[in-house]
Amino acid sequence: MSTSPSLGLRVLLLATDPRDAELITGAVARTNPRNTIVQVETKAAFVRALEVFEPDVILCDHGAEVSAVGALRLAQAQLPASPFLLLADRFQQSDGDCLRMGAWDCIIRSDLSRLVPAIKLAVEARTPLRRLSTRQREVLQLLAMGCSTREIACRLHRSVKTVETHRAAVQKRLGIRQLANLVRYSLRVGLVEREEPRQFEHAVA
Amino acid sequence: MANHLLLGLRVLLLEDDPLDAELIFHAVRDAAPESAVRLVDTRTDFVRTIDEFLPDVILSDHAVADFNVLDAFRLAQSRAPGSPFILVSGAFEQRASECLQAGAADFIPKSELARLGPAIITALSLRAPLRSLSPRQRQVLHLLATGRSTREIALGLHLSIKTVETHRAQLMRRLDIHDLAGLVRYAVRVGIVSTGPGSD
Repeated sequence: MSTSPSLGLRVLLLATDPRDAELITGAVARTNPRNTIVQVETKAAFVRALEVFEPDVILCDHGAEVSAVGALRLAQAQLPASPFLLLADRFQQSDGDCLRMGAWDCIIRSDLSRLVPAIKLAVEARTPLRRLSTRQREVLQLLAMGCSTREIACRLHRSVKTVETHRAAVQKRLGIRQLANLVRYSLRVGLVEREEPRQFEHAVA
Repeated sequence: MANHLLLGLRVLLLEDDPLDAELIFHAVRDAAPESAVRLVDTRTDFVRTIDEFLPDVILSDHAVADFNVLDAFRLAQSRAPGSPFILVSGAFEQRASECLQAGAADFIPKSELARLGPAIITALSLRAPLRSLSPRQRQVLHLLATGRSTREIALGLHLSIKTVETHRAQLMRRLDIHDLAGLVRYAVRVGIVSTGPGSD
């Protein structure tokens, strides 16, 4: 599934229905026996798993204790580089909201064949992002939200020179030079929302 | 307040099931009684009607006989860039998801047609500032949002740098967006620029 097939993915599944969970887990495990899937049902377990398990991919089914939007927010705050995929019976308005807020995809349960290819695409899109350090990712996020170098320096309590160095490193590691294309990439991987930008507090969590 | 957006609304509907077409037609008319709705079910008619009818909104099912919704969206994007493209479909599947990622305005399940009116209003409101831009300014917006410098734009459009800078200042004023990142986010949101790799 990934570019190095020997490495499995760590997949976190937020779901309450045991049958659905089994179907999903099975589909993911069959792709690569080295994939590790952890299933949680409650918000508390979800938060802990984000911190401790550090999944590469997050799958969120409806019906769990926390709403999809809530789960997305938690995941984005803790692991901004890990794609978030929604699972649903049918597409609802909240699913569209989630996509606009940065969720990668919405998979309808009657068509689970889409799940594995969607995960693959999501992970591939994020491979460049994983080359960035936490600090570099923060700089990228703030740039995409429209902050100037000076504003970023202020927010991160660093000098302008340091921010410029981080920015140059981001450009080099992503292979993207223009600001416009950095913003587009950030939108693509859900680092910034398609709606109004998230509050700055989230950016420096 | 939103009513003025619906006056004289021109809606193009790409749908090959007559029963669904009728349902959607009624849903549109409920929301916008004065709207003009055209129905097409082939690629040829779709393209021709966009060019002739100049729809304000395009509604599409996920597939008609000879072409899929992603192709329809791409066509709409190039020929009617300011008009929101809304999927109205019985199924949310891969292409629907790709369409949304690529900049389609919304997805309305056929079982929830009551949402269509509000979705159209929301999509039109979002795009209203685009209508205040001249074609040249829209061009400059697109080029800025895909990473071209002022100099590259000037060379490409055979304009002076000063003229490009004037266009840029004007469009920022009219959109009330004052930094490049904001322009890009807006351009992506209204579907005139993709998030995909490379320039458009």
